Amino acid sequence: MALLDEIKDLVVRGHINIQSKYPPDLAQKPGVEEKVKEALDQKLDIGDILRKGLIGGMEVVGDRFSKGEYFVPEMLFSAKAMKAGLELLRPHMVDQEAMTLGKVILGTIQGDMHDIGKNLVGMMLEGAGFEVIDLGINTAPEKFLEVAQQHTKALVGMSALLTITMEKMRDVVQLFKSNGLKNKIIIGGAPVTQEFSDQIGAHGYAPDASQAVHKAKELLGI
Amino acid sequence: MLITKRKPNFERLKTTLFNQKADAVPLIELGIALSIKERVLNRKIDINSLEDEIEFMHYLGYDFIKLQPKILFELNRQTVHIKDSGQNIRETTDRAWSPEHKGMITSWAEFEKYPWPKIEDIDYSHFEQARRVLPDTMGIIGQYGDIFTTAWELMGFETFALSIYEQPDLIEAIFGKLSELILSMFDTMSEMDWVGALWYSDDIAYSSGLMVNPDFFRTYFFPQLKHIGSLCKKRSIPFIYHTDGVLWEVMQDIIDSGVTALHPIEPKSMNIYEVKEKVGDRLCLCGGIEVDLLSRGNRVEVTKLVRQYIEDIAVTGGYCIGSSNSIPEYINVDNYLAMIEVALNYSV
Repeated sequence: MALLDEIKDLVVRGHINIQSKYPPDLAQKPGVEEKVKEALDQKLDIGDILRKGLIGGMEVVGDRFSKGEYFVPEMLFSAKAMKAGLELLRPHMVDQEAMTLGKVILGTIQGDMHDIGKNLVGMMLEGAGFEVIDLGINTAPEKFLEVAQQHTKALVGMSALLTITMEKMRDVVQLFKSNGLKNKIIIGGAPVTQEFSDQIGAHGYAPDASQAVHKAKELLGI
Repeated sequence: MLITKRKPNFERLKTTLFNQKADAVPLIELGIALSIKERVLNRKIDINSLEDEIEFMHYLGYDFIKLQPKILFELNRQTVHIKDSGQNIRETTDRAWSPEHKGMITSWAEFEKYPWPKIEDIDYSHFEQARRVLPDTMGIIGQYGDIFTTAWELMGFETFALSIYEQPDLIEAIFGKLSELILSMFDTMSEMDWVGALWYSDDIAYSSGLMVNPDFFRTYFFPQLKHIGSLCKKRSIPFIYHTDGVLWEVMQDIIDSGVTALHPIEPKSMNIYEVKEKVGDRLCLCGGIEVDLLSRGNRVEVTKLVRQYIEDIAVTGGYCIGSSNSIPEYINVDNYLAMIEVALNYSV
């Protein structure tokens, strides 16, 4: 198997490095870290390692998650493997800006401390080649505004777990409008629906982490 | 405020939970926020008062009260204050959140150090008290749950998810400890002949699918559910199981565990009409009235939906009316009462 395909396959399998016990059949065998180092030693194109290897692997992971073949644990291992490979590539990425698809400002809305879903979205976006600015949990509308003003082309992603907290998303959308910000806004979370997204004037809704990537690309015209 | 002449009748609920048709459609709810109860009764309520609980449930026409054994798990939850957002949601509140990354048990050393509650410390005294004071026509449902949920809350979800593969022995030990404690509660509750149904609650799915691989649940979860199912079968009492989320992948496992009634059928996860069509011959369905509608909708919309469910879902029996999760403090009380009023007064 070609080295880039091997990297892609190891991302799909979530095998980080030779010390990783997961998946059991790959324990004590080289993982993404070792194979990315090998690719760097062979002077393979950095863009190819990133896109065909790491990002290609995460695309398969996203599809499997959407189809119900992968669950959160499997996705976490793959995201960790991808990230481990990305960290090795980073020092070699001369023009990092050019190598990313775009920026996404992510945060769980004010009053909400839940962030598993938001983090999965972040991992999948990074896995797809986006740069993620994670504002964390319990994020005030003013914080979204402040960061979006610094990154006017960035996509803004908000997550909420409860009906009571998702209403804060409406505040963010209105705050952006009243301040003349044109950033595209995407929302998600347990109580959130496409209908709610339309009601509050958000630009998109995604039901899971994998579909968030598709929606992000669509909104940014990628 | 509320207009009903219907008297509580636990047999009505029991018949329905066994997936048969009773004289009327019963009401069901897993949890109702204290502030909602206070607004409905228009007075302060003591959260520990059994009499207050009975009065509230009786007043609204519920056929039962739900009791939990008392035990304390230390979970290191964080609290956040949620402010009023307007849009028909008037309540402000403090909410507790479990750690999602690193919990209290991430290693064997922490497992040993954790202050595990002891079986002999579980308090059932309120079950005895309820037996004495409950009106004859009402029944008691014994409820507990969260073997799966407590396991991930103790570890933090991310640590838990990774430990399934990296520390399977620790996962097994935590599930073993929790199962021993929690199943002992169901053993004890099933021995009380005045407990008329058992209810196990434990969320295993998101609206996008199961939280972890179904094989994991088949190893660590369904044997426990089956144990409770066998207790119910032995006593010939209904067995309600509550979990959020999309359950198609494990629906047969749920049925095979002896569950007679499934709660709460979240509309975003599963269409209640589809659930009725596919497994309605084997399971009573409970809930389905969207919490979001109860929070942000209006009385007309709620009335219409409850009538529709009574006409379509309850017509063959095996359906209890209730919310698609629980009645939180931020719900619109008027909508909640609209749901109850239709349930109590409308029949086909």
